[in-house]
Amino acid sequence: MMDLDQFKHQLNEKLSTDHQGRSGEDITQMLSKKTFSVIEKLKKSILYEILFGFLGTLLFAVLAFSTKYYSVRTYFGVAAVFIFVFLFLLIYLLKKTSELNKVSQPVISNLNNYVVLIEEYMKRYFQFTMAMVPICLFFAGWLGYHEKTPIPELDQLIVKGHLGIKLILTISFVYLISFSVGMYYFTKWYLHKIYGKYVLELKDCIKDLQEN
Amino acid sequence: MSSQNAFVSLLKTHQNIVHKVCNLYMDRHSEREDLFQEITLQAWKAFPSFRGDAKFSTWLYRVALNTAITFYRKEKRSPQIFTSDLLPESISEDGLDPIEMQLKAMYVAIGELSKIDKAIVMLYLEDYPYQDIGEMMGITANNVAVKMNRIKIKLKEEAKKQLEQS
Repeated sequence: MMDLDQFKHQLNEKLSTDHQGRSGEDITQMLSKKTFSVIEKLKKSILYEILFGFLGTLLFAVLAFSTKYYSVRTYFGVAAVFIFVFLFLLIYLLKKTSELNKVSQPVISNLNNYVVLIEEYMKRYFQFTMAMVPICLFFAGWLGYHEKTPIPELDQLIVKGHLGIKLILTISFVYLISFSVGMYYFTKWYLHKIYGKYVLELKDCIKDLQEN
Repeated sequence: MSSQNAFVSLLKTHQNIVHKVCNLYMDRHSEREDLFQEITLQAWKAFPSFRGDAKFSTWLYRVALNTAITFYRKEKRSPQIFTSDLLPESISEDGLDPIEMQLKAMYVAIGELSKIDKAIVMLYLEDYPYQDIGEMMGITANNVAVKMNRIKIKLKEEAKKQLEQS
């Protein structure tokens, strides 16, 4: 029965000859096209997040300085500072991603870098989302409760709906819990959908390489 | 000669390597085109790190294999089935003699291997010594030898199965 060595030469020849040769012009044209690399995708995502984070900081700062309500001013002011600090973390992540993206290194090192980068990105994204959800909700509730300037629309809603303070607190609490739980599962599902399966594939490759 | 011209000239000369990797890792023409483009782009981006102390072909193999193994396709596709219809034309001709049929069976069997095993087989077919394969993959030469023995047995069995089915 045949084995690989018997067909070594033919297989090598078949693999290398079944194609149309590319001209220098074809290759030059390819250099300006877009890439499918997951690391490039991550870098692009981080760049967008930096851009939107910066715009968000500006917008929140403008809102904080232009409103007459103490609660809104504090809420957006703190959010602007929080996002501004987070921008530095994103810039660090972008730098690290660019540094580790070296496709000319040994396969196992490249795979390890991919896994580290993607897991780091997933972890930070998840941590940030999970930290923001309760902080924003509690903070908004607390500030609303302590708002000194009356908000006519809100007062009218409470009076018209005959909502007692206990009912309002219960509704707020249920909303807070269900929103937090929903966000937890949604973020997990979303991250797994985008990167989870891919990371598992990469880990399988690493395991395959390390196996004796 | 500008850096881009030098790169294009080198890649044009060594494009067989990229085609080989594309043929081995992708079964559909459009996917091979996508991978070829991706390897070209990744090689171009990494080109400043090519110092010339290694052979360009060895460097290109590393880039091409790393790119093929980590290649990410977002769109959903039907499961990959490595059939003779998807083989390069010169293998899927009708009226094959026994040797050609065995070659075809072996080709299909290679297509069934894992991404890592495919990379090792590819470098083995190129006659790279185990030491060099180990360096490219990031494992020891001894480990490559063990894997290669295992792969050969697997290929023999799989090719036999393929022949029996046809």
